[in-house]
Amino acid sequence: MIKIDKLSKKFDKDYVLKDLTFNIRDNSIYGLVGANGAGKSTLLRIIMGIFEADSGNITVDDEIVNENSKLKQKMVFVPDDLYFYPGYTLMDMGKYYQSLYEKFDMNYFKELAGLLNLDLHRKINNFSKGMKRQCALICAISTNADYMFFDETFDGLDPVIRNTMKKIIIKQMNKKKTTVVMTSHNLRELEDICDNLGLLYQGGILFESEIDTIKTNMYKVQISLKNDFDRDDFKDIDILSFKKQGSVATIIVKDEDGSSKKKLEKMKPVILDYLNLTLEEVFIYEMEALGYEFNKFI
Amino acid sequence: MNLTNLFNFKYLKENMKKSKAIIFLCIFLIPVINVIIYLMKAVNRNIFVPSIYDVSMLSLFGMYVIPVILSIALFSFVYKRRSSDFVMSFPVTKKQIFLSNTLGGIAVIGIMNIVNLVLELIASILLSNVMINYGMLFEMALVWSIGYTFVFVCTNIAVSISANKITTVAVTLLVLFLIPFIHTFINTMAFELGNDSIVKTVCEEEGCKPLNYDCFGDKYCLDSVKKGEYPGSGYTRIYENNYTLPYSFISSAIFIMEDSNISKILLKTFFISIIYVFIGLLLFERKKFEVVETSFKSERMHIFIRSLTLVPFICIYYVLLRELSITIEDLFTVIFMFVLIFTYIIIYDLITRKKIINIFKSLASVIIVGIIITFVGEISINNKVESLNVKDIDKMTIMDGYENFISKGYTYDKRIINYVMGINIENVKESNPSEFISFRIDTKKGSYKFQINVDDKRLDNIMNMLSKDDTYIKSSKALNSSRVFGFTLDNDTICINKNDELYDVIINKIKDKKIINGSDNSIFNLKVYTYDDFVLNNVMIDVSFDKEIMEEIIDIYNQKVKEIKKISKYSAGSYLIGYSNQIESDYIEDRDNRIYNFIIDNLEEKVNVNEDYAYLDFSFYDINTGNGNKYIFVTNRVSELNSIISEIRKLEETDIQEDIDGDVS
Repeated sequence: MIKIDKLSKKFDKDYVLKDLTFNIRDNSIYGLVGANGAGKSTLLRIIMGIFEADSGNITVDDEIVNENSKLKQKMVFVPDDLYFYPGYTLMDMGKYYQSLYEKFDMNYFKELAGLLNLDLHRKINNFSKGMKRQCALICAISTNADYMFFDETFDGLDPVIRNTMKKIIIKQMNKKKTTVVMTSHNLRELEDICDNLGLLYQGGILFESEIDTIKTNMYKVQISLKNDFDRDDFKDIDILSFKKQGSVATIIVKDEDGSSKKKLEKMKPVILDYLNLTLEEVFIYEMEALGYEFNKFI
Repeated sequence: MNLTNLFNFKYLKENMKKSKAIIFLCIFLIPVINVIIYLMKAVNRNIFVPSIYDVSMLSLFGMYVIPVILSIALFSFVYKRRSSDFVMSFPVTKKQIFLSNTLGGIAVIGIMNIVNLVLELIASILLSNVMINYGMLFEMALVWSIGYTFVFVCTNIAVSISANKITTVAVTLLVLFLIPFIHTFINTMAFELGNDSIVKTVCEEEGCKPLNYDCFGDKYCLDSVKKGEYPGSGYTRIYENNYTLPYSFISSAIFIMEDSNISKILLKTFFISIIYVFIGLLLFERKKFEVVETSFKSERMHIFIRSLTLVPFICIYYVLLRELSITIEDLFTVIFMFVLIFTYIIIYDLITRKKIINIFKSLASVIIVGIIITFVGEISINNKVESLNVKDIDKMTIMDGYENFISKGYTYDKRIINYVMGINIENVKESNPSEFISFRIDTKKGSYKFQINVDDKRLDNIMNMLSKDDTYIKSSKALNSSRVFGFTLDNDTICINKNDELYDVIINKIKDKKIINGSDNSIFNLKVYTYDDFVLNNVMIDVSFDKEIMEEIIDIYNQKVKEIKKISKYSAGSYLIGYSNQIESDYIEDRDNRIYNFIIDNLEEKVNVNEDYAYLDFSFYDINTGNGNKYIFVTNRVSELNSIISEIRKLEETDIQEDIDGDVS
């Protein structure tokens, strides 16, 4: 388990992370979203021991990461700005990882390269941006590390490869009980893969939840009644948002016990449609409910 | 201690693999160019006796460049965000990275110097005209290995605190040179080098009073002498140069600081290198990768380092400003200096931090550095020593006249010191000494050297006193077989090395000589090559004091002359004729090959030095190959040779007369 406790980090006089506290449970995929400069990459670098926190603690499996090479055998990081040694082929990089990670699986590495049609013996510098990202990801996945940290994970990948890569990550997580932390400034990239999501804003986690819970608790309801109506007519329902156009209203309902539908049916509506929300919509309405404007953060 | 906690050889292997092109260049570039320079120097000479610099000239310059490049290559990841993210994310600790790279870099330096050594050894063995002390080659490898390692670990310190390559180079220069530079500045009284500060010698005891000191009626001089003060200066200050290796080379070249002991310098450099490895490690473990691609972790640190880089400039400006008076031109110079300093500051800031730091902060840093340097400079100048009291001399070192240090010994005996100082006080009133001995004196305020000219009686007195002084006898570095590694004859055209029988004979005959003076142009001049304390030296010894050696040498000369018999088409230059019983010699042209034939006819003759002999010193060129060589032929057939010479002279005179007659008619 990754435990982050009152973590603070500032550059010059500006705090990038301030009193950040949250945990990431094992064998899950944790998505970290936030606008550019929100501190996502800084947080990953601190977790990996590349940067040092000004205050607070991070422990992985109850151990401090800094100068702990044994623990770092269980951790792998793919930064947003990729680096490969000049003149190295994918095979060279594989061997480099193999020399430093005890559990590196060369066969699996070759298998993944084959699956993604990556030429093992071609110089990586000659690869496209997306192919370089694939190279970095398969190198990291083949380490069989317990904790994988991917910064801007799918940046530059086309939709087909993105889906393939997601499947590979999920398979890895299921097979090896891996914990994956991935960041993105694009919520849609993460919604179909993450178990948990955290929204980073002004150095802290503004909002954090399990995706399944969020998704199953919230609905978009389109309703029309015979008589004229307004928001006050739905006082016994937990409404996050209410918008009415003509005789039809679009209501975002938070419904933990599934009782809202029965209550609305009792009002004998002319139209009553329950729709699932996208993750982005969930975030937007949650943020609105908290008094923030979502577009400021993402 | 578990080594895997300190080193990660897998990381090192991969890191070196990544930098293999630079490492390959580091290992082979210098040795290959060194050996090419060595070969080029050797092939153009009859006998080549190389010094450390002859065989490794490029290594000296490479010492300031190669280790810096090597360190920056091994730690290249620290200069870019993405490469530092990449490397630091691996399961390798900062300690392992630093120590592995340090070990790897030192190994590369070691391999480079071994390659250099092997190539130089092969070249020395293959070149038949090279007379070399092979021990010197091994010591050369040691000197450069330590020097390169020192610069490498200094650069590693710089890498640990800086975040771009320019600041790494700046900090490396500071670590290497700043402290010794400041020490030189203070020690030399703000670079008052060569300016003899001592204007009088004080002698309060009878032992050092000069026997003949003439004031030529000068009242000030007479008053001074009554007080035991003798005006005049004949001392040259000797500045200690036992810094670390890279700075010592510079200080001896730029500041002419000559008092160096390479063994001491090497030891100092070696131990400081070890300390610097640990300092570098501590700093690297605390290195903040957050500041990658800037200069240092804070602006304050940036200004501090930048101020330190200003120290040498401001020291030089201080020295210049002291010389200036208050004129418009000088005011312009001062303004120009400030403009130069601020231009440097702006360029430095722009390159290293990509912005210009607040101008008032910069001005404040310049003023602070200026005040400190002025303060230090004034104190050091006020410490100038103006008089030398003989009783303050703790130690006197006696050297041969040429300061070759071949026969060097020291004494603490006040009687000897007083006697020599008495002669010196006299000497400074005389000019152009012809026969001289060099001395070095050590006082608590500094070391000085001077020369005295002595007649035979005084020389004997000094030698007698020294021969009874145990300290001198023990310390005297007389010629001995361990220091001498070869001799050459006839201006380095013939060599006698350790394999020759004559070598041991000569060594046994000359090893007891304490003081070696130069000699005239005798054919019995031996150039003795010694190698001691990393320094190659030579001194000329006239061996005509020993008949056995003389005959052996004549035999060597005449044996060599036999080579000319093999040359079918030749061109002989003029012959220099000399005789055993006269110093003057004369040149003659060989007409009708008379002298050549005389030489060929008498090549097998055994020369007896107890009889009169004559010698012919000449050069001989093979027209077919264009190669020439120098020879000396010695013969007892003096009258026969003289009659040939007389005939040639007559023919010359006849020819001249015919030419004159022809011109007249």
